[in-house]
Amino acid sequence: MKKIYVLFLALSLNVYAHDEGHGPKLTDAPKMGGVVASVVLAKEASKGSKAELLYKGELARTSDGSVRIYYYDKDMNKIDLAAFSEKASAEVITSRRGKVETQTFELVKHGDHYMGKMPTPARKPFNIDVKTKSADKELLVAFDNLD
Amino acid sequence: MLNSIIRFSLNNRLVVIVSSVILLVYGGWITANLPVDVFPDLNRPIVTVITESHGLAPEEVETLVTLPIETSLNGMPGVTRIRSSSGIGISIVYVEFDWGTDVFRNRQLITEKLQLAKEKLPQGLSPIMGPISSVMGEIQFVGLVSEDDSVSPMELRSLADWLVRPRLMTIPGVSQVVVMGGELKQFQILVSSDKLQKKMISIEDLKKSLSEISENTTGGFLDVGDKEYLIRPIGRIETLEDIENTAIGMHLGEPVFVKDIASVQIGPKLKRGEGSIDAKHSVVMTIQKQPGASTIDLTTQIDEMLAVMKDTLPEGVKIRGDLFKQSRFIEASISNVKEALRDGAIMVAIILFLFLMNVRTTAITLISIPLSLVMTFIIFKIFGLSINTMTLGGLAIAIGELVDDAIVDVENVFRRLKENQHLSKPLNPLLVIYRASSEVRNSIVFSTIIVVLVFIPLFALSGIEGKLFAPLGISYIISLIASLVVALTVTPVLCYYLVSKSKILDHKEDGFLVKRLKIWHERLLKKTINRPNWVIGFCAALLFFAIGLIPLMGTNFLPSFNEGTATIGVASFPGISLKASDNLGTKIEEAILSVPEVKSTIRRTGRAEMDEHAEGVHWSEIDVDFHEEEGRDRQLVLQEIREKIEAVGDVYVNIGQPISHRLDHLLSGVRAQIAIKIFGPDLTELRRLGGEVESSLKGIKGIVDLQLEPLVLIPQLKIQVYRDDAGGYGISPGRLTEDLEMALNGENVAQVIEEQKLFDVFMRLDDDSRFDSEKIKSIIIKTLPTGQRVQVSDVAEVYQGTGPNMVNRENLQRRIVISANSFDRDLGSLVSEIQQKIKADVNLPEGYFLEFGGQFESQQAASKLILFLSVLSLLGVFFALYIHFQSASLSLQVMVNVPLAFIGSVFAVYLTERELSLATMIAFITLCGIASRNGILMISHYIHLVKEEGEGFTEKMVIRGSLERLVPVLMTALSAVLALTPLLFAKGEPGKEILYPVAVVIIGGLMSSTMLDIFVTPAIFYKFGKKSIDKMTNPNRDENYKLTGEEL
Repeated sequence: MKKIYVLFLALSLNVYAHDEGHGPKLTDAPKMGGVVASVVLAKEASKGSKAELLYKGELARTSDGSVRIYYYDKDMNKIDLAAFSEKASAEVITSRRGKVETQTFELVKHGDHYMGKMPTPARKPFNIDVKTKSADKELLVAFDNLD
Repeated sequence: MLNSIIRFSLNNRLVVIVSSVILLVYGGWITANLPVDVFPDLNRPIVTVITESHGLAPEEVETLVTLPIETSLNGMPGVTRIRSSSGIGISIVYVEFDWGTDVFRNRQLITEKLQLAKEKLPQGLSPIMGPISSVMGEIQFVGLVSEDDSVSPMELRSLADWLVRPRLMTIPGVSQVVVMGGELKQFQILVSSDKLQKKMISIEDLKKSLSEISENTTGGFLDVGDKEYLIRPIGRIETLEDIENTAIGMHLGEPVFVKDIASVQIGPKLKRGEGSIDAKHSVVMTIQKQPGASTIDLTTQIDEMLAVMKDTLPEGVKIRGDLFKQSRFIEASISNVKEALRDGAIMVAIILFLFLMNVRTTAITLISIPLSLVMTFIIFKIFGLSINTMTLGGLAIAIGELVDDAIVDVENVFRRLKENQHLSKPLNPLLVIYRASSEVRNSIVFSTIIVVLVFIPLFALSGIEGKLFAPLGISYIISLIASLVVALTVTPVLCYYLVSKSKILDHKEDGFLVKRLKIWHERLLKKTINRPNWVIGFCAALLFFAIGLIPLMGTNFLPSFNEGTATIGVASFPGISLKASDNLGTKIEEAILSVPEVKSTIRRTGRAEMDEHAEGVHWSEIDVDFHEEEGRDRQLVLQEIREKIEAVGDVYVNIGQPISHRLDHLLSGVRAQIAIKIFGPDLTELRRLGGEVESSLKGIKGIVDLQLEPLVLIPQLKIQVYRDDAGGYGISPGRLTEDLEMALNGENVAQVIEEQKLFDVFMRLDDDSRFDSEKIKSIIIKTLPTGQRVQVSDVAEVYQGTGPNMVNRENLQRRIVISANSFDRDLGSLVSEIQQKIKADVNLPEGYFLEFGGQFESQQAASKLILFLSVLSLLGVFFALYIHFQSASLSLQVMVNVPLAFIGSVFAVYLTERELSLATMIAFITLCGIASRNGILMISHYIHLVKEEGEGFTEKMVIRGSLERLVPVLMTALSAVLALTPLLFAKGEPGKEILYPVAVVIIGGLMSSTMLDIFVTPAIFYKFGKKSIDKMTNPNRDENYKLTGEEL
């Protein structure tokens, strides 16, 4: 039943699919009240939803621009970030009628998560792509259609 | 004055007897007609302000609706807390007032404030107040079912809305009938965006035309000859064809009718809730009563009305009146407490007979029980109190004490009459009875005063604890005062009629039991009377041991109720559709029904129109009724239900009971025993902190139903208007969003009247035009004079984003709650561990704070108050004793009984529940008064022997006094103890849940105080009492000098 339920949710979300994203679409309940997305290898980003899911990432963002990124394993258990780089780079991406604007900012590791302050986006909606390194692999997690 | 009362009664014996008979008959009639309920009125004055907000998103509901309402209501006199929930299209503000404030005044104040708030709300929104209801207001469920599906859900719903509900609402005492389930009939105009584009009609124009679709007006009057005619221009629609054939504009010189651009049909209104009975879709009606209405009478009237309606329903429709009824719990509870009262009275009769070994003296003593009870019920009638488990509980606790005053009087009269019988010149029996009654009158009056005094500070308790225990205290006190009145009036008269001429007086010796007891007691006294230090040391050791046991016990607010039914809250993940949530709910119901003990289930998923909850469609509340015959232990059954539900799907389950659930909600606004509330400005941060707290608490022993309030992000299809683009076409963003609301969410444009039933005419785009984001992008929002058609995508971005499913606030601050229940662990220690864990694991940022609520909060507040009040009670007792004895030393000697009683009560609690609840603490206080009686009886008698019978302050006098008082002391204590045993052996039975811990404490305390007192008081008195007695008996001392009228 659980599978049917998850499948139903997945299907109902697909109805509203905006773009393919990077990695499989997830339906996991967030642990920190944010949004959950797939963490994939940055080099596989072009594969869209077919990129292999390595981890899961959660973005928790406050109205003052504070950004926290949490990483989980496939079962949504927090992972140890010891092997992850101390800093992560992030981009705020907006587009309108083909015109893309990008702003960058940096995230720093704080125990079990990364933390940073994002710039004010040029318009809404916007995407946030976060790149970090773990064992020489560049990981990407992308959160789409934020506002 | 007391002597005058006794004298008057003895001189007017017939008047007293006849008055007693009249009192019994009248009181019996009054008792039969008193209103009956399960608990006293626990209703906290809460007013609910509900605003239906046309499908607005929660953030907008919060900002545009909830905030203006909260701001205008804040600061009103008597308001203690304002809570709110802003959900999808609904704002609910709960305004909590001080206990004791007048609900009508509160509603008047809110009405005035809402008038002002309305001006600040978006156009067309109208806040209304929920009906006056009570915590125990949900008294019955009624269902409408079509078992063979021959009747459609729409017909069922219409029957419920237009036939059953209005008739139920006519019953006096019914405050609200909330209908849920079925399909609400609507005349729907489903507009095709494509056809609208082809006819070049904008949404703006369509809206304007449809607003004039159905109108009747007046044309004034026309006089024709002698007759006057009322002119009626009739344009109201009546059929689907009327709607279809209405012109809404012109295109290329041709009229455009509704049928050209839309399909018109009868269909169901968009639902946000679903109802089900026994896993079958049904219409569920929840009947709420007005505060103060008698649930049992109301249930009878509802059942009678349902029986009448049964025959008028169409074939294939079944009305289910056999679902949950609160009256069953009330009847079971009241019957159980009545049983305890009856059994208690039987126990008392047996004890009295065993000691007195005489039918007549037993009868005289026992008569004080019915007389005191009917006098109490008459007072109930005068002050508008009802019969409920708490008022009956007060009587059940008092029943053993109701005979105490009579016992003391009868025993003394009996002894004096016996002595008189053996005198060479016996006195008139009337005089002997008068003197004997006068001799003990001070003791019984002061004992009663002390018991009453001890209880009075408890009336200062506020909140639910005050509402629960005040009626118990009132009935307890009134019955004891009534028993005192009986002992001073009826008992001496009955002694005259039944004892003074009895042959039993010829027997000089005591009965066998009394004789043996006195022999044992004398031996004990001879061993202890000269060893006061040993006695004190022994008692002190016991007391310290008892104090040492307290930290080993847990704490709780109130014992759990046994309501006989279960209320199960099931939450799936927010964002789930109603259909999916409903399917899940049906499967869960089937799983519950597979448990053999389950009789029926009623499920309500989501919310009904004008429901006072803002629950989303992910939430289901399932009320489970069980078979009456005994099955497995209820905890086992509930555990099986929990496991079966969890096996159905990934859901959160909260199992509780209807009234307990609502009491928890009333205490903290959360339906759980423990509520951890985090306050702060940012929703994401609140959700994050909530997540941290939740993960920190996982795994704590004894914590169950741990839940982070499901305030999460749900999928939203957003249409972000770009002002610069819209401005280029001369479109204002406000106009655009309004038109989109009309097109996508729809609007009621008119009403159709069918046989006095009103149905909405509803308009919105058809499903093909709004099925996905691409269709929405192509909706035409304006046709320019050049013929260019402006689509949504020209001026806005349509994308799938997220947004909060609900925003909850308390006292004007956003908040998130982590709730939990305790299982197999006391609340006090559990909360203490939770506090430590949170302190260690969670770091709150600036601007965020945390509060603990729920039963725990109420327990802490009440415990502190009770501790303070018990100090006041003890001071009151000391003061009363000092007035009586005029000696601090003697007063303290009487009060030695308090720690002696404490020893037994702590042992009793430790051996049984190992849990200190509010009921336990109140029982401790009650015990102080009851236990003091023994000391008063003993020491008063020593004083009497010295002052009135010429005894010296000797060991012989103390032993004589103790032996003479042994029988009344044992009889009063044993009758009080045995009267409570029916409560002791009924742990957890409905109605006795709160009384059980009270009985444990009083029985344990009375046993220890009586057993210890019979040798402790004589030893202490013999050691420390001489000085006080000397002072008392020396007429030349200033303290003993009394002013007389002659001297003045």
